[in-house]
Amino acid sequence: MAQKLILESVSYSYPFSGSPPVLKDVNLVVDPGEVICIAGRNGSGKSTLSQICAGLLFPTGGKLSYGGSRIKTRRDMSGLRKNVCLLFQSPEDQLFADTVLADISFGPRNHGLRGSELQAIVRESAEMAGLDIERLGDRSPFSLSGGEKRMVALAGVFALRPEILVLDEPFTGLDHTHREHLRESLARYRESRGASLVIVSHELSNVWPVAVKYGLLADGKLAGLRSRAEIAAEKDGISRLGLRLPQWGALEHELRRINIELDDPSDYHVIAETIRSYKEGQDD
Amino acid sequence: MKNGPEHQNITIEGLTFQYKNTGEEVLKDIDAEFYAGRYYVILGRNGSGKSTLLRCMNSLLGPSEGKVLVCGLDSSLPENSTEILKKASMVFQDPNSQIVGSTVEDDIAFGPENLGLEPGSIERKVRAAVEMTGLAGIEREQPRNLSMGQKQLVSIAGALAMEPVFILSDESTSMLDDGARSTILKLFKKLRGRGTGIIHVTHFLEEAIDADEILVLDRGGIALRGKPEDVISNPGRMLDMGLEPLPVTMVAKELQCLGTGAGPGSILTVEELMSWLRS
Ligand SMILES: Nc1ncnc2c1ncn2[C@@H]1O[C@H](COP(=O)(O)OP(=O)(O)OP(=O)(O)O)[C@@H](O)[C@H]1O
Ligand SMILES: Nc1ncnc2c1ncn2[C@@H]1O[C@H](COP(=O)(O)OP(=O)(O)OP(=O)(O)O)[C@@H](O)[C@H]1O
Ligand SMILES: [Mg+2]
Ligand SMILES: [Mg+2]
Repeated sequence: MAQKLILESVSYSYPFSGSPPVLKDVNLVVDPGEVICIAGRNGSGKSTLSQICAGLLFPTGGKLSYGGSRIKTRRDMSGLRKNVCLLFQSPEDQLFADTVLADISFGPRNHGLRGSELQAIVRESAEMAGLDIERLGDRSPFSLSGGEKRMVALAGVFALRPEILVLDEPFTGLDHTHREHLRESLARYRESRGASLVIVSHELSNVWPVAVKYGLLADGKLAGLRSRAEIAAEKDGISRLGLRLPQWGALEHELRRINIELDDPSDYHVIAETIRSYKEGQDD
Repeated sequence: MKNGPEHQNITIEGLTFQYKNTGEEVLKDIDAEFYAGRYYVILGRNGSGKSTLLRCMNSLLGPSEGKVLVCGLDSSLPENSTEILKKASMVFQDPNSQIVGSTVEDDIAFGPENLGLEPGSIERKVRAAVEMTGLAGIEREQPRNLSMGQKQLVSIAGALAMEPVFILSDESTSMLDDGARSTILKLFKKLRGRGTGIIHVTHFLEEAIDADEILVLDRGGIALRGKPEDVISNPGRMLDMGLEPLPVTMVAKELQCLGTGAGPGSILTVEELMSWLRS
């Protein structure tokens, strides 16, 4: 079961960069079991924020706490890293072992697992990531296709069984089938373990079906969390932030402009039915 | 010397490719022809062979069987590889693998410098590439300190600065935000108008709407090819290929099944659906 992760007026500047802080006065509360999407344009600080949440970068200002205990020093961050795991935006930054199997086993092995227990967790994690471990287990993770690398990196993170998963653009490079599979795995993982998910994505359509709250980053500031409906209602504001609504959202938006309201804006049966009755009404 | 326009194409004949370490046949008996001045989109599920096919078009990989001719140059001959790299520039799937310079500008200049051009001309090409990709303002930064999307733009700029006949874009928009993505897609169209051939791999069907031709790879073969209105307007077929259909095509198909007169037909955009609705 996850605990509360709190960022309180967190700021961050990269050392020696001489540029203004990348994050300014960021407030974020990740409640246990919650699914939050962090979105924003390129360079807005999403990866920086993910690394702070996962205890890989120490904030240069503000407060960070997990489960009620404050992370005061760099040393405290190792505690945070036991419970919160990051999927790096680039799989190449995560993969390191000689074989796919060794790569995924590394985490659970460090947790002391061996033998059949280890094997079971590796297999289960590969399945969650949509990775064909039978075929690819003995390959070098560096001789895989882009999507296959992403699946290995995902499996490695799942194998650590963290309470909070911070996923930096987990859908990039995955095909449709694997994106769907990942969404299902994430939902199941969250439910069965009471885990929280923080998902960074510049492509809202990828997270639309799973993320309940949305945090928009711009100029180093994180706006308060919004619901899906609030996001869909802000089409213009969204595009100013370098984002766009999924085609479903855009369709809903256009239909609403001609006074067609949809019961379920992501179900094509519902949309087609609604459009048909509108069209029939018009033809009469 | 520039080859004549009759050679401004990439010809693939009976291409089969297997990686030596696994012996798996990743591409099987592929025939295709790509012309300069057109925009091609390659779709296909993970592991279907998209990146491998692009690497074969740029002489990074030589065919196990069959032939690849890049602007008339046989890619299996090692002496052609430098010339082929000038004709067909790759934007790699992983931007980190492409970064070589210590500043953004140096990085973009790397390709043209290797061509042995004079400094003034290199500078002009780099400047143009920086402007086209919207990197102005961060050209003096260190590439390794950039965000992933910014790095991806640097990789694209590096390929542009080569002024190649073909740009081989391996998911080069995958990490770009909406603004940068539309900048790059517009740029592709502009370059097509100026005679550059664009071969763009993507998982997003929206990027295929304006393609001159779409090729769908499946298990190493070309499973489907044709114009967007023929290939991606059929949602069922897209799902069979492991691809995500455009939502409006699903709605259009459903309307057809419900029997609303003619239905909107093979539409691909929300605008097309709306104009049918208003008609
Ligand atoms: N190691 C670093 N040193 C200095 N500056 C950095 C470093 N890493 C990132 N930056 C800068 O911090 C800002 C935020 O970068 P970050 O990677 O967090 O953005 P992002 O929102 O994840 O972008 P993207 O969508 O492109 O991945 C950028 O301006 C980037 O140039
Ligand atoms: N260096 C390599 N050695 C052995 N096999 C490889 C190598 N690179 C790729 N493969 C295999 O070849 C197949 C095709 O890979 P390729 O990278 O061309 O796929 P892709 O269509 O680009 O996939 P993705 O959408 O995931 O990027 C995959 O099954 C992959 O495992
Ligand atoms: Mg990032
Ligand atoms: Mg690939």
